[in-house]
Amino acid sequence: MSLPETRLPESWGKGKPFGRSFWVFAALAVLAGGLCYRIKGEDAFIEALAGDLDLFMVLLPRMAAAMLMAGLVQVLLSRALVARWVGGQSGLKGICIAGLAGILTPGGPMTSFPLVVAFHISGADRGALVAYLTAWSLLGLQRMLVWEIPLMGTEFAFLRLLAGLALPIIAGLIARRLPFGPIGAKAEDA
Amino acid sequence: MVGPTAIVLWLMVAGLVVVAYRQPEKKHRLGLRVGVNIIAANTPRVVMALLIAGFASQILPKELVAEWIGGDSGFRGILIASLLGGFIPGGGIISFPVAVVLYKAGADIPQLVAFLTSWSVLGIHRVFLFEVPMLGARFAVMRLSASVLLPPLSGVIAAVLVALVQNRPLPL
Repeated sequence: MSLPETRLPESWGKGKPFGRSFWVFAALAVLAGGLCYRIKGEDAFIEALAGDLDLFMVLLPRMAAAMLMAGLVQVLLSRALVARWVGGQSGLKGICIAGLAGILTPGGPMTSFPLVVAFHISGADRGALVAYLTAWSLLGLQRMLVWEIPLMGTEFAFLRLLAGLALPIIAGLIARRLPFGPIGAKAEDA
Repeated sequence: MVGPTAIVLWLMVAGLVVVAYRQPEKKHRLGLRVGVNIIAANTPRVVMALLIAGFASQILPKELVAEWIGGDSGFRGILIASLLGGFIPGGGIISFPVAVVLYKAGADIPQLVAFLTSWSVLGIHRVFLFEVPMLGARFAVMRLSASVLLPPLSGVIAAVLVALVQNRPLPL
């Protein structure tokens, strides 16, 4: 059984700057701005704009750095490497390693879900698969660097990391005990 | 504007460039190029997301947010936040600005942690767009059953941590 292509997809960097989702965001911004002006008046509207400008100036250097890191990590981590790393493990160790891999996996769901299929093929059990997905979505380092630290601050990010650190392991252990038959009917033919 | 957080992040960029440069294929150029693409692809949407968040936090009824998920909402607030998060669609570009808006409107830290956990592990959009098509409905149901308690649990853990740090009684 062969794994999907060896390099993580660059999907995250291939989006168009002014694609469809930009225009959805822009329309919502105009709508929210109009509502703000109508309901709260001109002062609140200007206050919101000034606050945004301040926040953007703080965010810009942080997000630029975080996104460059995201690009570098994407080209450094090969999919086959991560799959080998997670697939061959079992027991509590398997769950912990899967969780760690989840934290380190960059990119969105276009990257992580194909990796879960790859882990399954390489022999990871469902506890490890659930731990991986929980860790990726909950504590993913890239999301933390790009969005959470710039917007919410280091302190909040650290608190949430501490509060969440055990959760992928808990979810993985629960998943192993759930009365479900063998999983991956779809994953088998991937 | 360039605080310690930004400096640490840029040092980490420098470290990764060195690591990539020392790879046999000298991947630093490719990595930086991918990074620049990510910046170019996301900056316009980030600007719009910030505008939306700024306006929304002016409009949002603060009394309601404070009552539902504010400092005095306790465990009930954690449960409300745990329900709410799963229904927020989109990636981090949506969820974290929403969390900022809620925070400005009076939401408390444990409730925000529960909200973000719920968005992460129960996010309905991701289940239907990615998990069911790629891994099957049975896997999705199995994973969701294993994860359903995580949002309130993370909120309670966060409340304990906040109480420990601030040396005050548990607000639950």
